[in-house]
Amino acid sequence: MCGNQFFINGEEPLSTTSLALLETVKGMNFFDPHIHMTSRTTDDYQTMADAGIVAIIEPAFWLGQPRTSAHTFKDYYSSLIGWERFRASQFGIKHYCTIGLNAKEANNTALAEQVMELLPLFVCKEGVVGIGEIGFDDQTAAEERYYRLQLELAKNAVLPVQVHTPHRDKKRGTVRSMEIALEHGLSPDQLIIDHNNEETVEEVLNKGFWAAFTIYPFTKMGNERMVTLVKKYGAERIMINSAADWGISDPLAVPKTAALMKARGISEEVIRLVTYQNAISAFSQSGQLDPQDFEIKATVDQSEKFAGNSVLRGGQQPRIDRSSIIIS
Amino acid sequence: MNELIKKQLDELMHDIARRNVGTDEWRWFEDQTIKLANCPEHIYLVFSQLTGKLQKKGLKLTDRDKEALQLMMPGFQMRTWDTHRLARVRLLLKLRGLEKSRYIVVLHRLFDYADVHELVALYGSLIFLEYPKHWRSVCAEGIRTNIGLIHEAIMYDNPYPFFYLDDGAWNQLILKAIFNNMKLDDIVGFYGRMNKSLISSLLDYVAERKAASRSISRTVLQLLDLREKIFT
Repeated sequence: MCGNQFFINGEEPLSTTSLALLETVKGMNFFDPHIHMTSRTTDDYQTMADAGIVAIIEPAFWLGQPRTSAHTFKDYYSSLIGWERFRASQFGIKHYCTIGLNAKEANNTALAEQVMELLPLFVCKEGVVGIGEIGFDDQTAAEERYYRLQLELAKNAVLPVQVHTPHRDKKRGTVRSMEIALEHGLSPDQLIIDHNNEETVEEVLNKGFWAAFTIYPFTKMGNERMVTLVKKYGAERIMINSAADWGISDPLAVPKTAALMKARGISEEVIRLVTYQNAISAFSQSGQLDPQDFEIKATVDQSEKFAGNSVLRGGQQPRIDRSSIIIS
Repeated sequence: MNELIKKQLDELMHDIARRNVGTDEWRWFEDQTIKLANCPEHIYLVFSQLTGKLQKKGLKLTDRDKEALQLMMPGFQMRTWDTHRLARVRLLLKLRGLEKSRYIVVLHRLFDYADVHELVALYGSLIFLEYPKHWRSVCAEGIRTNIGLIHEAIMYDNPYPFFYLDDGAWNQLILKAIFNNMKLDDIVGFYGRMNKSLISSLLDYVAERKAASRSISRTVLQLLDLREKIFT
């Protein structure tokens, strides 16, 4: 027998944690500046577009298994500026990426040397909005070497840097990442320090860096904690992302957190800054991110539409009817 | 393509580019073409870098431009071209004087490291490349991708497939266009390369669609009607 306590019929107040709260942020645009779509499905793209995500950044990362050849890195980078970008456009989502050698694989120094030779060929491509995600994992000497080399690359190419901070010994790794960047003459506002928590945020903000928070179940930030942090620190230089990947993660983390912030009384302007505008401000320093490319709301990829040509281009994907068991 | 037509096309594209690109941007672009003349490998950098230097906007073409293009290269049109795509093709044309093996190495490397928009420019310019037969397998590979924008660059307003692909690759292009609901009328030579193998595939396609109670495009039926005129 069904229990009717689960039905939302308009007479009962919504639970403060109900998914239906997403309706309260309907019409808002969201920007997820860290998500690994390579590891996600088309269903995710559809639900993300439905929830108001208009643009994303996919940082180059570790695919879950170490690569053994520079060619697989090359193909991966190519897919980030090729196939994945096109796949996103089919769902009306503008896809950007950051290109870099991640910390884990920097430890394979023979391979890392070859990958470093590839990077200059990719960092000046259209829609590459930074070097990333780079930084520390185990905090080894090899990781430091390639972090420094890539900071130099960012400096020369005048690109923002998306910095991955380690899971273990996070606070020390975060501080070290910032100190090294300053040592190389980068400006703090050129760096987006990612995966912050309550222990790291203050120092990151005080030093003038962008502070990104990853809303990721069990291992990183929960969004209730995020609401508390936004109440405490405001919106300046703070942004959130999902970092959704091949692990148990949530591609709707940004709109869900926006809804939670709204339910907990945070102003719409602060929500807009944290879930949209600040990421745009930080990464548009690359000169490769133009909000006009995704601000025109429509069901098609407007960036591929040219003046006087109203025909859909690029093969918009048809929708399947999720309310039916019929597959036609 | 003979040398005279190449020269005329080159001049026309130069004019169109000059009219569609701002003065400062144009100066930067001209500097790059001079560098390219001294070091052809400079194209690897400038091919990507131009996105940050030239404003991307749809090309404004005059009726005279369109007529001239049709006279020089029937079927070829620049309806969906933007300034970046035109600039890239102008850069490619600057490589013409290279010795064959070096030319081919440079071109393959551009394909190999290209992003989507660079691929669109590359595939869209196949008809202008030197050693046209050499690019058959490259074109066939482009048809094999699933990126719609690349299919459009190869299929729409582009005479290369019609003139150079063998029947096998041409038939794949037509079938892929039909399966992907593309604008068949924009394919240069769509009705012009009917062959027995293509007809047999199309008949199978029509039978499959009927069995699945799915619609069949009128253009496909027209194409099949045509076979009776050709083969009976």
